[in-house]
Amino acid sequence: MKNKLNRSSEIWMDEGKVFAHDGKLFQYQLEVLKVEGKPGHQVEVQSAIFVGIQRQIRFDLREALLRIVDEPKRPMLPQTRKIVAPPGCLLANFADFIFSKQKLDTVLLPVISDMCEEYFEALSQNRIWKARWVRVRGTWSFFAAIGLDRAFAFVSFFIKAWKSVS
Amino acid sequence: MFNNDPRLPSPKELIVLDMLAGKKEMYGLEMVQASGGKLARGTIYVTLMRMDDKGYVTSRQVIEENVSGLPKRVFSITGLGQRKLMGARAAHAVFVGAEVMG
Repeated sequence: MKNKLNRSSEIWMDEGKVFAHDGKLFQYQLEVLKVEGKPGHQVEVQSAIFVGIQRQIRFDLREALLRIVDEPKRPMLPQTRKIVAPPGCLLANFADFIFSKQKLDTVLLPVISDMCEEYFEALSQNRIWKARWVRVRGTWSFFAAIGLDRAFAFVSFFIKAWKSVS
Repeated sequence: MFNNDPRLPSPKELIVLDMLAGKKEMYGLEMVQASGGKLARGTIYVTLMRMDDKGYVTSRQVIEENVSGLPKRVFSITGLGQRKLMGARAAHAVFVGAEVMG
């Protein structure tokens, strides 16, 4: 198995586990048993076993191995990035399906737009919990706006009906 | 049609008119933040839409270039809105016995 790894091999790491690719077809989970070398210098994996096929996030081999030496006890979990829809995307689709374009443009989309602005402002300041709170509050505001709008519509309909009768 | 409406604006409408009278254009979140808790995020656009129907304010959509996301809707006060605001201020001044300024 050792001959399948070389300096151009790709290394993956996740939750303290190391994964490697043989450069051809297969990916392996690599259990590092022994690493020699000093931090900042070239290191080599002296002993390793392969325990399965996985697909994980890619790292440069040398950088990955140096991190093994530098931080042997810390989990080598890289910052995972994923693309997600902005807040209010689902609400906008829902509103687009239910309400008229005029109501959407004048009442509902501005509420979502404001929520997005506050959300991204909080994220830019690295205030994750504030961003989450903004999302919850924005969702509440969205449904409050719908409720209030429906209430006003009902009252105006009632007044018109009353006037037409009397 | 709405010019003959003798009613004064509601307290929330007055807050909005007061803010818009001092600035050229504002959008909902700006008003909520400037009001110091008197206006709510969930109700501001419904209030503004009703004010638009009454002719107190007018609105337009602003699409900012190089900025992704939904377009903003900014509001400005109309002549009728200014007259209603002045009328409400005068009524308030008479009520509290203060002198009406300009």
